Amino acid sequence: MYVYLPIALTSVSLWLVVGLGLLVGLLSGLFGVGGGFLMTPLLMMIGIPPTVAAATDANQIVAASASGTLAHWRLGNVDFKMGLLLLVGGFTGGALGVHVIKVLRATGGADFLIKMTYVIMLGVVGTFMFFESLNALKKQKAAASMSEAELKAAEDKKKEKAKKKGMLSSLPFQVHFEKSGVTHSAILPIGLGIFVGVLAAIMGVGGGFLMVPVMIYLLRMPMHVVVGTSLFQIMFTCVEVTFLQSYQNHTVDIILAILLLAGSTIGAQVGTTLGKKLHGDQLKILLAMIVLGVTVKMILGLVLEPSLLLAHGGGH
Amino acid sequence: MKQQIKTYTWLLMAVFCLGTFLSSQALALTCKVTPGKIPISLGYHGTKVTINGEGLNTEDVIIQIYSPPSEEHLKYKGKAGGIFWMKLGTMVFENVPKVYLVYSTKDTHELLSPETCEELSIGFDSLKKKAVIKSKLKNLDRDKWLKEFMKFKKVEHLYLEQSGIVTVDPATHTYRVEIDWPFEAPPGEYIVEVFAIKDGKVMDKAQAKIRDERVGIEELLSHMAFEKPAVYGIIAIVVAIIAGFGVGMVFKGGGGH
Repeated sequence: MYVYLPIALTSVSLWLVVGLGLLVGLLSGLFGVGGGFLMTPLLMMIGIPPTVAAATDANQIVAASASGTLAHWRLGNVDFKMGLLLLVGGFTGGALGVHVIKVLRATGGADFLIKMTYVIMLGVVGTFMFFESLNALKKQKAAASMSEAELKAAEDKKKEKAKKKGMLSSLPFQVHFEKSGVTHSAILPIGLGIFVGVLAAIMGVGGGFLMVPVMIYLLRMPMHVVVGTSLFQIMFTCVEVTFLQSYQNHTVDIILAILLLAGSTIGAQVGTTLGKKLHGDQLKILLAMIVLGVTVKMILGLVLEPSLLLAHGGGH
Repeated sequence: MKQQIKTYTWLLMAVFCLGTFLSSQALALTCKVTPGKIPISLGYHGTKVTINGEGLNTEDVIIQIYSPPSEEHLKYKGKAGGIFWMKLGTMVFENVPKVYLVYSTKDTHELLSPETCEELSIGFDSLKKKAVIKSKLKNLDRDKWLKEFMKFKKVEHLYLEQSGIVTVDPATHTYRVEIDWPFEAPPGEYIVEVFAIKDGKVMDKAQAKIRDERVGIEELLSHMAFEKPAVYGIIAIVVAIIAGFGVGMVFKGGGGH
């Protein structure tokens, strides 16, 4: 069964596209990432023009993240306060990033910067998450064999270490985030939001796979709250991108988006349910492996000679 | 009497000329495309198109289908810093059709000389000669990039050359070919040209048109995306949010959480 896409100007298999949506939605629900870094290349592989693939992907992420946010909100896993601050930073950073790209496009260095940022960021984030989760899993095994007194001593040590991180706590506008159980200066999530926003705009993605590690490792939020909060802020970012792409570039294909979201919204729900059954570190290690897989694929794409030396504009 | 003979002679000559004219009209090459209009609806995945005609006094035929020449803006790839393959800049191909399909009884090179092909704009070699490339790329190798352009368009199923596919019936002076119209062909009007070939020369030619156009919801959405982009964008967002929350509600109802 085929469906003709009025903006992409191509015909695609209905089940293939719904299946792609289901797969990426599953990842979205599991890890709290939008899945843009996976979906856009997958859509390009089935013949969707890059500009339409990127814009329509943002549209379907709105649905998947709305579905995921609702599921996580019901579970009490969305830190709205943190999400809003990250969103403020993300919007500001996004606007800055778009400007940076404009300047670089004029000088001709944009594509190189985009590709290199992509590979370096994915590689660093993936490797760090992989080894960190691996260590955490090893520690759990060790903790299981410790006596109660040893456990208490280890926990006291941890607390002391946390107290020593005084530099961040000396920043003004300290806010307590009840849902996440952490206290940070409001400047920190806004600043990190700007950082991720700039990178996301340069790379042309929602930034979920960058935002999630930032929340885990820099904001020290618990994994279950990270996923829900990340989906909440991704939903708003993608609403903005969808509108701008429709209005300025006419590249959102609503039929393609509906097919993708038919799969991704269900996938997001299944992913959330599945996520509850998996341990946080197991989730992290899985995400790290996916991110590293995409990195390797990108490096091969950069090093090996392509079969076609001409391509449509846009995309990554 | 002399005057009557003169009148009859003139009348006979007129009848002869009319007869010759009418017989030549009956033998003129025709071209019929079925369907002449291809509706692009929601379930469209390309279609079969039949091209046939009468009045063929040769054994060989070349049929070419093309869209009016236009510009193609593409990105060219190369090695950045001598290591990484990536898009390095824009290349504009001018005076090239978006779609170019050639069907014939035999290979076009066997049927016509390169000079005749160029003169009548038949075949890929003629297309290459007329194409213009514009790019900031230094020392642009025209042949290499035109070859790449043809390869790119063939992969997209928009350029095609197939020989031995057109059937000719000398007894009835007819020809026929059934082709797979590519769904990748953008909506628009295309020209169908038929050439009757004998001894390396074009003996007759005929022309028809084929049009593929969006209908129903395809037309409505395309019109809205380009004419009312703000409304289109808002609809896209609302549909996504409703779908997302809707599925979330359904899962709650089904006891998913």
